[in-house]
This record gives sequence, C-alpha cells and structure tokens, in this order.
Amino acid sequence: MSDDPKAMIECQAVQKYYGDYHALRGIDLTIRAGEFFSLLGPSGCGKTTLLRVIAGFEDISSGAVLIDGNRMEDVPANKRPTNMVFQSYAIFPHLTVAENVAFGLRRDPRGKDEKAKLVEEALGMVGLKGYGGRAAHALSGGQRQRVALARALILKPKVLLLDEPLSALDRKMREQMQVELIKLQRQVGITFVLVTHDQEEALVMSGRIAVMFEGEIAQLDGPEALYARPANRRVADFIGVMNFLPARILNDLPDGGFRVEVAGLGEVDLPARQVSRANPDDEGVMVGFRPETMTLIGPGQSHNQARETAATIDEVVYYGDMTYYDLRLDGSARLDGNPRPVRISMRNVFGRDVQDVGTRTRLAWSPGSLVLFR
Amino acid sequence: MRPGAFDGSGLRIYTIMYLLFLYAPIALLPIFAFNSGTIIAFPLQGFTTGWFTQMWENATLRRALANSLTIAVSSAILATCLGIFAARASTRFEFPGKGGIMGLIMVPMVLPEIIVAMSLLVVLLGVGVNLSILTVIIGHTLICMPYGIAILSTAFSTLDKSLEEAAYDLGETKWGAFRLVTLPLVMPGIISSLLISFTISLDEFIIAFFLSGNEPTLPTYIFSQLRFPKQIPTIMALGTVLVALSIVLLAAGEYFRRRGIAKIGGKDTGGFL
Repeated sequence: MSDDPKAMIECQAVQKYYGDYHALRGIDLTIRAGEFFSLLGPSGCGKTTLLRVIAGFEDISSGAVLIDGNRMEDVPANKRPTNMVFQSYAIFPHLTVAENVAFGLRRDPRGKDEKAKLVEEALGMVGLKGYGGRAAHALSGGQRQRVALARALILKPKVLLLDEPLSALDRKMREQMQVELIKLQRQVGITFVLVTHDQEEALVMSGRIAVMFEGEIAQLDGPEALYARPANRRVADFIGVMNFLPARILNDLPDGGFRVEVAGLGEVDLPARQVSRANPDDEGVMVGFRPETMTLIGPGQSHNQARETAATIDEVVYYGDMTYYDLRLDGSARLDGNPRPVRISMRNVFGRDVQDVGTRTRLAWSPGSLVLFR
Repeated sequence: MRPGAFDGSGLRIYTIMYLLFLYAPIALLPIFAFNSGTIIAFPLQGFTTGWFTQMWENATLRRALANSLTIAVSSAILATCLGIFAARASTRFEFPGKGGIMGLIMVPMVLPEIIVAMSLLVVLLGVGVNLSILTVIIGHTLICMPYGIAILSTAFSTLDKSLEEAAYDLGETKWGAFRLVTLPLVMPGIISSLLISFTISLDEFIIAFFLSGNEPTLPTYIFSQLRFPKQIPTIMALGTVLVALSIVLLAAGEYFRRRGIAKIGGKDTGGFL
C-alpha cells in the first residue's frame, strides 16, 4: 500500500494514548492524492484526534504518519504541507479579511503587490471578492468559513484539513457550502480531509469515507458501498435508517452466502457480498434493509419486483416530498414471537394516494436489497 | 398595602448617603489645598496656590514621588508579565498540581499584608539583602500578581484556543503566533492588569513601610508628615494632584481598553469603569 504512487497521506498502525485513554487504536489508512476524504463517526470516536495527528498538533504514541511519502514525526505543524480549517474557523478578529488571508504569507519573500494579488485571487475563489478591507469580526458565519478556506488555500497546501467546518452553519447555508466545497476541491485539486459526525454530509461530499468507532476504522468505502453494504451492524445503524428483522440460517451457499429464513419475508438466498458482521451484543442473526428499497403497492397495482409480502400500516408520517409508513409484516413474529415494525419511505408522486393507517397492504421488494448480519 | 411602598425611596437615600460618605472627603482635598489657612477647618480663609509651590519645592516629597512612581511602574510591569505566564499556563495547559500552584499564587490576595511584609522583611534581612526600593518592588509584585492573574485569566480563557493553533498552522513559530494573535487579543486585559497593579502599588503602605529602608515612598512620606500640622495643607495639595492623576490615568486606560475590545468586536467583560 505504501508504494502506491498516488498516496498522499499514509497512517501506519497509528496509536494514540491520552494517559490511560486509548484514543486511536492502530489506524491504518491511505488517503490518495486529490481525493475528497471524510472521517465520519460519533463524537469521541477519535476522528478529530486523527485529523490533529495529521496536522501535527498531536504526537502519536506509536506508528507512523507519512505525507506525500515523507515521514512526519519530526515535522512540526508549522512546517507540514497541510493547512487546517478549524471548527470555530479561528479567524483573527483583530485583523481585516485581507490581513487574515495574507497571514500565512508573512514569511513569503514575494513583494507586497504580488501578495495583494494572491489575496484577491484567494478571496475570489471563495466568493468574497472585494471583502478584503472588512473587519473580520463583523463577518457572518458563512463568510468566516470562506475566509478560513481562503486563508488556508492561499498557501497551496498538499492537504487541506477540515474539522467539522459546517457544523456551526444553519441548514440552508450548510447545504450550499457542501456544494461549494465539492466544486472548490475539484477546482484546486488539493486533497481534502473532512472530519464530520454528520453522515449525510459525508455521503454528499466525499469520494471515500472512513467510518470510525472508538478509535478504530470500522469501514472504509465509497458513499454508495457504505450505504448499500455496511460492513457491520454498527455502521448500518450509524449511516441512514435501516430496518432489522430476525433471521435464521438454513444452509450455506457455494459462493459463501447463505440461504436464510427472514421473519415476515420468508426464505431468501443471500450471496456473500450481501453478508456483513453483526454487533457482538446482537441476539442472533439479523437481516437489514433500507426504508426506500421496498415499495408499497396500492390495491390493484402491479409491480416488477421479485417478491411480495402482506403487511398492515401502523403509522403514516407525511413529509411533503416523502411519506414514511410504519408497517407490521405478516409473520414478522414467526421466529422469536415479537412483531417487528419496519419503516418504509415512499416518494410522493402526483396521482398516487397516501395510504391510511390500518390499511392492509402489499410490499414489493427484491432480495438484492437485503443485507445479512451474522 | 400602600401603593408605592416598594418604590425604593429608602434605597435611594441610602445610595446618596453612601456616595457622600465615599466622595465628600475626597472633594475636601482640593478645597483645602487651595485654602490659604494652615488649619483644616471651615470657614475657608482665602485662595492660594502656595501649597502646591511649597510641595514642589520639597525635595524629600519629590524623592518620595519619584520612588513611588518607580516602584509602581516596575511592580505593575513585573506583576503583569509574570501574570501573563501564569494565566496562559493555567488556561491553556493541564499539569499535575495545577490547582495547588494557582491557589498558592493567589493567596497573597487574602493574606494580611502585615504578615507578607513581616515575613519578607525577615527573609530579606536573613539573606542579607539591603532594603531599598528594589525590595519594595519585590513585595509589591508579589501582592499585585494575584489581581493581575485574576484579570488576565479571564482574558485568556475567553480566547479561542484554535486561534493560536491556526497561526502556528499557517507557518508562524510558536512565539510568532503568541505575539501576532494572542497578545493583541488579550491587550485589554493586560492594560487592566497594569492599571490595577499600578494603583495598588502606588498607595500601598505596610510593605513599603517595612521594606523601603531609608527611602521614602508617597504613603510613608505622607504618614510621617501627619505629625506636623504645618505640613497638612501641603499633603492636601499632594492628595489633589494624586486624585487628578488617578482620574486621568484610569480614564486613559479605560479608553484604550474599550478601543481594543471594539477593534476585535468582543464583548466587554469587566474592566473597572
């Protein structure tokens, strides 16, 4: 892995202790040059620690960090080819916008005019052309974020590190900045490493995502693979909504998959690529599926899915563009005696009525959308 | 109940009495400083500026003033510099024994000054140090530091830790990050600390009395002159000058402190005016 010519950041068995607290438990990770990479996990999972290790703000207890092929243990943060956008943005409040952006150029031998041109360019890149003379403390949250980006990017770092950069913004602003960050990354071609606890943000923005729990990487994959094929039950729970039904393994399949009986869904063959690990504390085998992978069929409607299951609607939650149905599948209590509610989401389209609570209905699905956790 | 029973008229009278009690004596200072009679009593005799001339011509008084200013400026700078170290360490870092160390530094704030003065005197004499204004500076630095640290800790703790990291991340050295980012942002706190240390030192009597040897400071000089009724109008003149100076100094300090806060768009947290 380490001789991959495109590797920008390599973490090799990185361990970090704070006293007795084991913050990073052997991180092996390669981040490729030019990719938009996310570290995703709940608070306290070590993602920010890992980012600060890469930035050089934290020493590691053992292991190695390489940036662009160079070992970093003796390189302090101010000499690393990385720059950071802090969660609080850390805009210097006593300086103007232009002085903030030019801060990293203080030791640059280039002339004043040339620097001013670079600052104007950097501000233009983040959509703040002409804001240079403003006092930094008078900016809005979104503008501060842009200044922080310009201030880091003006130094043309090999890696831009972003520590929860959107968490302080309101929803609209956040969605707008997500798109702008993607565009910006494509434009500058710099490796972006984003830390976030927001799974949606990670899915929207990243080329690849490392999901972290308790100082370990649980899964490293692209957004689609992460969503459709979570490596284990914990990742499945953390990313999006997943329904779980108890299941029983009937026999092995030649490709490493299994034939299972799923409560409420009946017998299905699940190939090896649809098999993931259960949590250690799970009671038995489970089969999971995403709410949008199954379809409610109205009376008399036809469908082209492989399978069909009868169910009763317990609850209807109308969201405008979507409707969520909580259903009880017939026979869902078959394996362990507990009826399991499942949640189905349906896009509301013109001409299709929202079904009522208590309605007997049919659910169309295909075995390809199921994941077995064992 | 009678309407308006709780309109606070009693409290208003109390407030007026309180302010009178506090400021009337100070208001008397300039009145008697310009009064030509030697006895501090009404009715006033006539207007004179003679006491000010006499004050200025008094070499011992000039020496006491010079000593006091030297001591106050030195202790204010020393206490504030040391305070910056302590406040930054206590707000930025975790280290073993931190609570105990900070507690010990802050103790002189509540320790009776006579005890500080006496123990310092015993130690200094024991070590064989000659008493001079230098020993007073040491004593005053010791008692001013807790006040400086209290003010500076607030300034440092309201500062986002990421700011210094950001400067470091952008290629500055650790010292450069501190000088370019932290220092300007805690400047209002530094000004407050300098001012309060200066004022504490300027009117401090006990330590100055114990540790100054033969050198007079303003408070010890004033105390020594009170025995001579003839000198009292001169002391009144001196007091008038000191009050005027204090007002100018505090106003200037407060002006710079507020300007500093406005410049960074921060919230005003304290200061003494």
